[in-house]
This record gives sequence, structure tokens and C-alpha cells, in this order.
Amino acid sequence: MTTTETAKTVKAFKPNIYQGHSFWRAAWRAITRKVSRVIGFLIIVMFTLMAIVGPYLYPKELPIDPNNIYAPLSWKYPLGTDFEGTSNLALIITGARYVLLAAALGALFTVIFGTVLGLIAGYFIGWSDSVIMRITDFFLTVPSFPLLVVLSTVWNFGHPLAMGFILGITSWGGMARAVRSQTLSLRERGFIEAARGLGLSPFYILFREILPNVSSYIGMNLLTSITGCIYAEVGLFFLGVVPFHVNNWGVMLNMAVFSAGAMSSPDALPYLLSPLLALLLLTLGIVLFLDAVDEIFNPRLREDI
Amino acid sequence: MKVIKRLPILMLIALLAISLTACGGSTSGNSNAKFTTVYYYHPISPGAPKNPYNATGNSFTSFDTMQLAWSAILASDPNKFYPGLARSWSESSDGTKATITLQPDAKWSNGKPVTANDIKTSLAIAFTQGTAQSFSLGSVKVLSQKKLELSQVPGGTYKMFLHDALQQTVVPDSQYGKLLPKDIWSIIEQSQYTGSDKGKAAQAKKAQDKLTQLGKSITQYAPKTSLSAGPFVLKRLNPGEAYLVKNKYFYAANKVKVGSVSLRNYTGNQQIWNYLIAGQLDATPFTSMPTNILKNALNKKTNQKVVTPTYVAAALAFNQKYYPYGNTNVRKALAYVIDRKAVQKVAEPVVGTPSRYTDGMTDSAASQWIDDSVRSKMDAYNLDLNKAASILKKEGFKKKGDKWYLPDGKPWSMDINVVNGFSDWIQGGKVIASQLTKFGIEAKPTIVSSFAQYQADMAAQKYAVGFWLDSLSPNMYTAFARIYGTPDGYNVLNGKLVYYDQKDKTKGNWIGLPQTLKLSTGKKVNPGELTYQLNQMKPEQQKDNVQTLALATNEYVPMIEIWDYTHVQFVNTSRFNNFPVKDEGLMNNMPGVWMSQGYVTPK
Repeated sequence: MTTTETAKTVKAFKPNIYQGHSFWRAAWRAITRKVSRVIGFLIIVMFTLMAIVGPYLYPKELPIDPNNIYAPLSWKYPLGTDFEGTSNLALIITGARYVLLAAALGALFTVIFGTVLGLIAGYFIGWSDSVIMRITDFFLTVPSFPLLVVLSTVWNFGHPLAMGFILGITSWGGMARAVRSQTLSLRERGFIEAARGLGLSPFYILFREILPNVSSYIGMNLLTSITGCIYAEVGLFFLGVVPFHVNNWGVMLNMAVFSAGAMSSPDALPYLLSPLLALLLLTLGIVLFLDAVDEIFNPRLREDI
Repeated sequence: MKVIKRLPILMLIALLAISLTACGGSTSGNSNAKFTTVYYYHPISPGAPKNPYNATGNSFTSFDTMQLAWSAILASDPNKFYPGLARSWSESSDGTKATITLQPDAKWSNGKPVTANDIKTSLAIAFTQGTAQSFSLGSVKVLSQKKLELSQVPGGTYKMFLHDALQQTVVPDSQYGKLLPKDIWSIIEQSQYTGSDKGKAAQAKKAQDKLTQLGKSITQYAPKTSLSAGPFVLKRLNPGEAYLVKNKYFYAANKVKVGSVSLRNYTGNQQIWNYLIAGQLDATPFTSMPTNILKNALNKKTNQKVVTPTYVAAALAFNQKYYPYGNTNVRKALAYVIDRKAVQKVAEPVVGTPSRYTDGMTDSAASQWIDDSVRSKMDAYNLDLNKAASILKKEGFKKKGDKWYLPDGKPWSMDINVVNGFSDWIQGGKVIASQLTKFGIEAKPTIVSSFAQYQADMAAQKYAVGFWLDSLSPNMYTAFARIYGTPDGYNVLNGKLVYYDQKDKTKGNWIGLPQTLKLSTGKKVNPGELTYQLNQMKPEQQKDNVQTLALATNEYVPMIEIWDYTHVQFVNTSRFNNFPVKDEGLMNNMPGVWMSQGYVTPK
């Protein structure tokens, strides 16, 4: 048997457990194993739905009512109103799309940059490792939030893609370092040695052999990056350095503190608490759900499969 | 200052429309009484020099920094002043010379007398800061230790010469004199040359550059000690406050009954609100606030609200280069769409009133200048959507569904430019955008990162629509020059009026009205010319021009006036009484001026 034929035989081996519906079934089992995971999952679903259908539930220009500025909680205004008498609930719901999309894209960019660069650096070592790690060090050393503040005065973040991209490129450093460490350890393991011995391409080894082994870490990082991105993004809006949209949660916090006097008078408190509540719920959902993600991506934790 | 919401505006208002401060006296009563307030112009920055020419310097007008006199800033009596370091003043019949006599007992806080030389040095520094040129100051002659004569530049006809000269800051020659070269006055004289001799003109340019350069180094100068000729002297600075104690050498020390002053630091308006609500401030200067904060502040029974007029209005301005805003009828239609009451209610509920007329001045100023016969010709542009729609249709605009389309078939959208941190502009811009969008014009507020950037972009004709402060002052020249001055292409160059067309983007003409406007009365006028003439007239001669300009502004709507600011302040009567609440002129100045006039008594 030649080496090439051996390689073909190995390639044909496909572990069924990761394929098709069984992955989703395993995921579902992991989620439903604990009540806290279900709650986390439901919160995430709720916010995702809000982001997808929220803007269609209200007119494009939310109605204003100058006679009901900072109105108290009522059936008409379940979360009170803002500086021009617009319902805070409507602002939170319609604002979810930009906030979540930008955060999700930011997290995605973080994970993609971090994983790809970490894998390459850890696997190839040598000069590519040195170059990538020096760049990573540079990004890790530059304080990312102040950098974001500076960048936001130069670039317009009107579209969530732009915001997500900028959040991603400032926060991939830690991820790249962690993935590199794991790759360095994995590349010395027997199955990788074997794959190399079989003459498999580095691309195949990186993405089909090593990547699945760090996927649990990546999956969890994706979710924690989302919360990180939301904080960074809302922080930017809170400082008032990015485009003004009344329904952006950070803008709501900014207006509540700096022009509504929510810190000095209880009347405007609902305006401050509405976005805070949304942020708190979303973070809670993500934290509760993280536990399930670990199990979904880490086969060793699947007790009943 | 970005965080400070509206304070940048306040500073602008203050710098352009208000002259502040004071002097004081003291000794009787409870001399340990500490008066707490916040400094109107800027927060405390412990690292900044104790220098009044530094933008954030730890030098506090009316407390330890003095002027020759303090303007009452009254529309009814523009020449009313409260004495500062000058005891008396007079001007020649043609207004080109002013004689100033200093307070005989004026002394610096080191016991040395304030002399005419201190004033001369201060006025030389005014040339390096560009302020002396703005009121045509030519030369200064010391007549005696306490008397000096100021003259306008040869051929100068500026009618507010004495008025502006009196409001100059005075600094000690012993500290600042050494910053100036010995030949400073010959440099100043060279810089004033306006003739056609090329050699002299080049020399003048060189002298002007030298002055600018000197000006920059002076703003950075950090004197080791704080010398004050005012009622107080700086004792210590920390990040929380500037603490000043009574200056025993102050010329009217017997009138000052307050022992010390604490100027609290603040990072934003919300911090001033907290101090106010807690009753910690004995006086609170003009601070933008929402209604809920006002309510809370007044819950403190000893907080007393004091309202006086201001001469500043906020307007929505148009660059007529941008289609379709060059069409007067379109601007009129927009004026009918904007519900100014609703905008003011949201944006400036406490310290504003909706503008009644678009006429280039606030309603309180207009009441002194505009006759009923002229007023009757003006349109108030009250909310009338049908009228707006019919005007637009007549101009070829079409409404399809909910949206208005331009005559060329393109949808109509509008960015309303506002400044980051100016929450009243942002909120106002948002409400106007909502009203326009509801009417069918897709509008949204766009925030520019800083006021400096905003002004630069505005001048460079980058915005079609944006907020603008107009009126600004009871002085009608200043008021109308906010529209028919540089923003509309009219500049004064070497004492002559020059017009720059909008085609030259470097000259700051961002309004772009035609030079000749035909009024409904049939009269053809040049608004830049009429405004320039105000500069050459005494107030009593200005009425015709003012009324014509107001009517032209109402008929051509270069900007839609949205709200007038009102000067709302608070005094707290729990620790002090005898506040000058009935004296509008004093209330237009800072508490140091009140104290030096004998007001503010500890309980």
C-alpha cells in the first residue's frame, strides 16, 4: 500500500457523531439539561427575535409626544418615555438590531482573526509565529477602548458592519494568543504527528484536525466576545462619540445621564434603567448559555451520548 | 468640556455677549463666611496656569481678575457700566479718544498700587490676543499714575470704542511687562499700517505675525504667584475647588462682606445640578437643565430662581448653495412645518422660550427696537402644514404617498447638523427631524464631533442645514453680524466693507443670500451694508437700519429662529442674603461684581 492510498483511507473516516441532525440533538440535550441553560437560551432567542422583527413592529420614525416627556411607567409606556416622549420600550426593541448585529459581527471578527492567526502561528512556528505574535503583542499593548474612541472620531460607524469590524480588529489579540498556545500543545500530539506523517496538507491539519479540538474554547469565546463588544460599543455611544440614533442603548444612557438628569432626579430614571435592564438581561442570558456551549462543543463533557 | 453638555454654548454666549465680573470690598459682618459657586467659564484644572489669557487658566474674572469696568449688558441702556479698576471715564465728542481715571486706592494683593502702566501693558497684551484690534485701539498715552488716554487708530470711527475698551482685562505690569519686548508699541504701530507702500505693508505683516506669536507665548505663561487687584485672591487650588480669600488691599474692601469664595469643580452640568439640588451653591450661573431638575432644585426652599433676558437665540440655518435651500419659498415652507413650541419644550424647557418671530434678534431685544408698523408686516410662521404643502406644490415639489419629492423627482432628505455635547441642539435637531419626517421630508440629526470642527466645516460650506446661534448681544451690530457678517460673505477689511461670494469657499460665506434683497415694501436693500453701517452709528441712530434688517430677515429667512435663551440663575438664601436680584445689570455679571458693589451679606 502506498502512502497516498493510506491517506485516502484515513480521509474516508468520518466520525458520525459530529454530522447531521445528531449534533443538533446533542446540542438540544445539552441546553435542556439544566433550567439555567434554558433560561439563558430563551433570553438569547428573545433578543435575537427582537433584533430581527423589532424594527417591523413600529413605524420607521417612532412617534414623539412633547407633552409626555420622561413619563412614568404605565400601560401605554411600560418602560416610561425619553426626552421627546417616545416610548422607551419601543426604543429598546427597535434599537436591538444595531446593537446586537454590531456586537455579533464584532465577536465574529474577533474569533475569525484570533483563530486563524493563532492557528497559523502555533502550527507553523518559526518566522511566521514571530511576525504574527509581534503584531498580536502590538494590538494587546494598545489600549483598545481609547483607540476605539479615537477611531470613532475619524470613521463613521453608521452601519453595524463598520462598527463590528472595528470592534473585531481591536480585540482579537487575546484570542490569537490563546489559540496559538493550544495549537502549540496539540501539534505535538500523536494524532497530529500521524496526520503529518500521512502527508496531509497543513490546511487540512489546521482546520480539520486542530480546529475541532479548540472549537469549544472558540465557541465560548464567541459568546463572551459578544458581551465584550456590546459593552465597548455601548460605551462608545455613551461617550457620544459615534453617530446619534435615539434608539441606541448607549445613546439612551448618555442622554439619560447628561441631559435628563437621571442621576439627580427620579423622574428620568426609567429612561436610564431601560437600556441598563436590556444590557443586564442580555448578559445574563449569554452567561447562563455559556455553560451549554462548553458541553455542545466539547465531546468529553457529553455524558449521555 | 465635551462632557459638559451645553457649557460650550454657554461659554460662547458668555464670551460673545456677556462681560462679567467684579470687584469687592469687605470687613464687616461675618468675615469668615464662605461663598460657594461654580466658575461660569470653565471647570477647575489644577495644572493650568494662573493666567487670564489661558482658555482654562486659574484666573477667575470678577473674583481675582479685574476689568476697567463691567458692562450691565442691557438693551435699554448699552452704556451702563459698573466701575471696576476705572473710577471714571469719558470720551471725546467724536468718540475717537477716551480718558480713563483709575480708582485712587486700587492696589494689587502685594500692596503695590495699580497704575496706568499696568493698564498700558494690559492693552499691549490685548493686541497680541487680537482684542484691541477688534475695537480699533490705536495708541495709549499715560497722563499720570492714575490717568490715561486711549485713541482709536487714525481714521477709526468705531462707535463702541470706549464701551469695548472698558471691558479689557487688567494684569500686573510687574508680572506681564517682562513678557513684552521693549519696542512693543512700535511693533503695534507698524502692524497698523494700511497704506499702499509695499515695504511698509510687508513690515506690517511681519509685525502682525510677531504679535500673534507673542500672543501664543503669553497664553502659556504661568506666573508663580497669583496677583489680584480684585476682591479676592487665590489661596489654594485642588481638583475639587479653587479657594479664594478676601483681598485686604482691594480698593473697596469695606464693601465686600464675604470672607472667602469656593469655586467648585464640575465635570458636567449634571454635577452642577447635584450641587444645586443639595443647596450647596450660594449662586448658580446659567446652566441648561430639564424640567425635572428645575423642580427638584426649587424643592429646596432657599433656592431662588432669578430670570433675566438674554440676547441669544438658537436658529436652524441654511446654506443656500445646497438645493433646494436657495429657494426662499422652500425655507418659508420649512418654517411653517417646524413647531417651535414643541421643539423648545423638549430641547430647552427651562432656559428657553420659543421664538415668536424670525427677525435676527431675540424677542426681548425686538421689543425695544421693532415698531408695531414693522411688526405687522412680519410673518410669524406659525405651524401651518397646509400652507407649507401648498407653497411646496407651487414650487414644483410633489408628494407621493407620505414622502415629498424634489421637482427633479429625487426624494427629499435632510441632515440637520448639531454638535456633540450640545444636548439642547441634539434634542432640538431630533424633534425638528421628527416633525419634518412626519411631514414627509426624511430628516435626521447628524452629530459633529466638536464645536471647533463644526464652525470650521460650516465656514467651509460643508453643511446644508445646521444649528446656529444668532442675535448674541443687545448690541445690534454684533447681533446682525451673526447673519450678515462673515457668514454671509461681508467682512470688514482695513475699515472697509468687503463682500466675498460663495464661490470662494475659503472666505466663510456659508449662507449665500443675494447681495440685494427686495422687500415687500418695495425697498431694495443690501443687508451687509446696513449691518456695517450699524458699526458706525450710535444706538439712537440705528433704529431704521435695525428694523429694515429685521424685516429682511423675516422675509428671506436665512435661518429659522427656534428658541430664545433666557438667563436663568439661582441664588440660595440659606447662608447669605442681599443678592442683587432686582438689578438686571448686576445679575448679568458674576458674583464678584455683586460683592464689590456691596451686595451679598452673610446671615
